[in-house]
Amino acid sequence: MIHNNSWHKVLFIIVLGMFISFFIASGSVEKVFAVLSNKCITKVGEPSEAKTPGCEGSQPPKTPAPACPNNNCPKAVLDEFGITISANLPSEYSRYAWEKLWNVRYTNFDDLVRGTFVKAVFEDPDPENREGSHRKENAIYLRSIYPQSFFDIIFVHELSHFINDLPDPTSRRTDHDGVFKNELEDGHRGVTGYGELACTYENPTDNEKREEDYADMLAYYLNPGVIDQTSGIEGCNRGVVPYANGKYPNHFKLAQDILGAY
Amino acid sequence: MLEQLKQNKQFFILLVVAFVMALVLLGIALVSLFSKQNPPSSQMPPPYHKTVIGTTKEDAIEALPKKKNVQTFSDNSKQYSFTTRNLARDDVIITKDNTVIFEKTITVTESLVHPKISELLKQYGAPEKTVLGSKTYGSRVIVYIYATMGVVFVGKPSSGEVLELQQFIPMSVDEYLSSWGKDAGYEDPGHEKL
Repeated sequence: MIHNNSWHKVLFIIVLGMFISFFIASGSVEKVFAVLSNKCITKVGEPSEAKTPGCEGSQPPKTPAPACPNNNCPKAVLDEFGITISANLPSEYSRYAWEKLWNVRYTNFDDLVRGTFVKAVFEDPDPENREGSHRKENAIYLRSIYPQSFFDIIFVHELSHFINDLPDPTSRRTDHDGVFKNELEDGHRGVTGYGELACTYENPTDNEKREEDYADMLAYYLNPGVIDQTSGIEGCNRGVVPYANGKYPNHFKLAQDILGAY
Repeated sequence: MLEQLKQNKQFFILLVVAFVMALVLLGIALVSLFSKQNPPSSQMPPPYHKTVIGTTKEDAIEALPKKKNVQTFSDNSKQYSFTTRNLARDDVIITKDNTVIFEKTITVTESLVHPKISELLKQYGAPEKTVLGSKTYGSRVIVYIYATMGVVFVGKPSSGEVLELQQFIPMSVDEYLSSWGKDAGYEDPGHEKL
């Protein structure tokens, strides 16, 4: 025999159980707990929080990168970001890489390029020893002459070629096809002169231009306010800040969708 | 217990209401769980082709959705273009004497899912020929040719994705490469020349 009070309890448990199963099924529990535990609040030294789904845009104030732990930047870059910097490159490059990656750590960039290598051009199996990204070796090849301002551009640009090679929808390559083809500013296709002309190629194809535009789309998104300079060739750069005054909004939005807020 | 319920009419109504509520919530939970366990329909293998080669007629093609434009040629052939999820690349259907002879499909779904190279290799077996690179897609794709079956697909090995699928009236590999397959092949060292 169950008393009235007991029935109330049984009823309460049934309804509570149903509510819990409903929330689990709809994924709301995770959201509720995220709110309760304030997952979107960013904390220094915990870079993964802003990458939590639903937390994009909750960026911390940009602060200078701390010194590399134990003053060992190659190890710090490898341990923290999973990128191997060759000892054949100038020692400052590891610090530049550490500072840039730290600077963009709340975006998806480092997750998307984890496992790559940064090498000196003479390590390239291609006898021409050119700068660039080499998919087979999962490596980018750099010269040893860059100031930090140019390193920041070329480093992100070359690594972005690997992001372009990731499957849709991570790479959003299909969407970039459309954006590259259809977004024109003052008659110019491509977010930079290099993306438009791919002038370092002998006879660039549309696909090569598209790939360079993809890399520059991300490079200048993560280097806002910097004048386009990727090719280093006069006449190939426009000498303007690519996203200034709201230009190329579809490129900007796509970069934001790929990498998250920056 | 029944007597007790009869005695307490208010409690009985409350019990019924709560039970109905619980059932509704259970239903919603089950539907939600079920929809999570099954991939959305857009991730299922897409209907790659709109036509049957050698069979479908122009009036049926005219009625297809997302038609972009039609070009008519002097040899009594027509080329139909259709918009796709990729705003830079169209699906193409070519007819001759009112019948489909070639169809090119951009194999990406609305949710940006591509079929896998491994799936198509499983379906079609070993290709008669593979060609590295394509003028449209660059140096890092492979064109998988099954010319005598009237099928070709373009795959990107680094991501495992199929980007494009073609079907046509069966022919030899050489005939394909000199007709529909002129886009196949590409020469590139594999990295940019900065």
